[in-house]
Amino acid sequence: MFEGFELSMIDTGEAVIRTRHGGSGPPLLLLHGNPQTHVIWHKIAPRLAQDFTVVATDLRGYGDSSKPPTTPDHMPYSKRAMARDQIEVMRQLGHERFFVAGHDRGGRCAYRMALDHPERVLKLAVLDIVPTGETFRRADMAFGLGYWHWFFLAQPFDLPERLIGADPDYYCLRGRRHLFDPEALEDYLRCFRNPETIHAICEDYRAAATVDFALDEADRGARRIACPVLALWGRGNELDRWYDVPAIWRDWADDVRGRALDCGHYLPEEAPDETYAEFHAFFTS
Amino acid sequence: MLDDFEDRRVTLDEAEIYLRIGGEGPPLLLLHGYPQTHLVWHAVALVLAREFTLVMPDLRGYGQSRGPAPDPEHRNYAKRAMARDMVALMDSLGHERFLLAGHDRGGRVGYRLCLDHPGRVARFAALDIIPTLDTWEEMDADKALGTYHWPFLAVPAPVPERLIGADPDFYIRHLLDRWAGRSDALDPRAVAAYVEQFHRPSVLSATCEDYRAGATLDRAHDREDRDAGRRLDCPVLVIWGRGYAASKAASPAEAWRRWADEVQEVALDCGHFVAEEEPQACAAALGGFLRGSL
Repeated sequence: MFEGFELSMIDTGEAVIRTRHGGSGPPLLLLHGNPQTHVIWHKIAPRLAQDFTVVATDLRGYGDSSKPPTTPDHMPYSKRAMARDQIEVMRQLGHERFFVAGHDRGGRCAYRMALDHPERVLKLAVLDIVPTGETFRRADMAFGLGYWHWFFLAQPFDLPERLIGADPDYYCLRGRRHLFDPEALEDYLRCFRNPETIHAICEDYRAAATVDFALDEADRGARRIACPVLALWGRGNELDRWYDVPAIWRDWADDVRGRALDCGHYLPEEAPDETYAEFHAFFTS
Repeated sequence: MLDDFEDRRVTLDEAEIYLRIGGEGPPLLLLHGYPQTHLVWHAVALVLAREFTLVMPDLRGYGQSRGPAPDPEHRNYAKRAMARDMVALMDSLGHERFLLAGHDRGGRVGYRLCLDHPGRVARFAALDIIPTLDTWEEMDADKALGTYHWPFLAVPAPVPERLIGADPDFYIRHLLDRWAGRSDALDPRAVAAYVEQFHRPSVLSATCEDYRAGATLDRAHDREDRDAGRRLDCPVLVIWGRGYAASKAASPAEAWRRWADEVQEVALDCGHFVAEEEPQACAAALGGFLRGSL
């Protein structure tokens, strides 16, 4: 996996970020989601590295990145704080302006970065998400049942930590493990077994239900994403059933394109060829 | 607890129901909720037994009652099935017409019984709930956070069973603490019994099935009734705790007026466990509402 890539631990001042980087060309930052690590990009990173300088990181709290201390207001796990890490990683690697693609929680970090730091983000790809605030504003029975983990993980400390931590191997990616390469799955599971990772993940969701939601509400209709946006999602997924995904993103950005791919939630691992082709076309256009 | 009440076990077609019975006067069926047992009535029973014959069962699958194995459609833990148990139980005791009060899940069994078996219930008291359909229809981000256990317990088996089963004492005590207005509101002996039942896989499974039915069949049954214009045919009293965040958004009586013509309301300064936190006030409200009506 990731042959020819370098692996670095980069200290951003707030966190130490596990960073896989390689290739040549314009810089492209790749951000993973819950409960995974940068390894989700293993199938497409080598191909992307032919045309881009690829930087794939673990978000703070996730994977082998450090887990900054938590606070009652959940700010350390806001997507705003997570985005600051990633900008600092890119700056230390010499990339002031770059492309970014994020899946799941990484997508939330990526669009927050595009809103907070428009001068840094040249293009944004978001995988299987719409903005956090838009989902909470629309939350109803179907959402509560379909995305129950949003509400479970956001419960006050330490209810979800205790229940998940009693048997992390049971909870993590149960029922979906067949979708992943065994070596990738082992990275996800190994990192998830760390109680500090479980706590950080819960804080990510607590931040989503509080500070991330509030920041989105403050920006909605006021601040927009200045760069082109590519939205991809899995056909038949909850997102596909509940929302007109491009229409929601058009409320946040002028230049939006995207489509559903024939896969579930884990696009870069379930549909690597299509995801690669979409990325390549979007980021080279 | 409830030492002056006789305990019995009644074998029905689909379930074996454990109950405590005692007191004198018109029959009053009292139904507990999640994650509890008939012991929720231990304090109000002392007052109410002076003027009512109290029938206090454990719902199928809960406490010392036994229910059928779960089924894929959750029919076996739909409130319709649980209400059938209660009608059969009251039949077996010779009570054609009776009074009914239900807390939490028991309140849902209670209103389902009123809708499915018109004429059986003279008066119905709902403790700290609004109907299931209304609860789901009012679900938004705040309520989904406040009542996360509705979606959580409804996740397909065995996910919540495994997660809760890993540390049932922690989970149930956490939940009781959170729903109660004060942390010392509940009698430790009752709490020990509530917690102990979750060491049994059958109880873990049945109680999750109760919520799975709540997210599917119970909701469908409510909608069928609402679409058909069926309403509760008896007066309704809703007693609710001002301190339980998940139910305090609006007056619960407003929701009940969509389901019944005559609705009264009593709000108490306590959490979710109105019968245990404010037994005197709760018993007085129940007595006042039920007295002389049968």
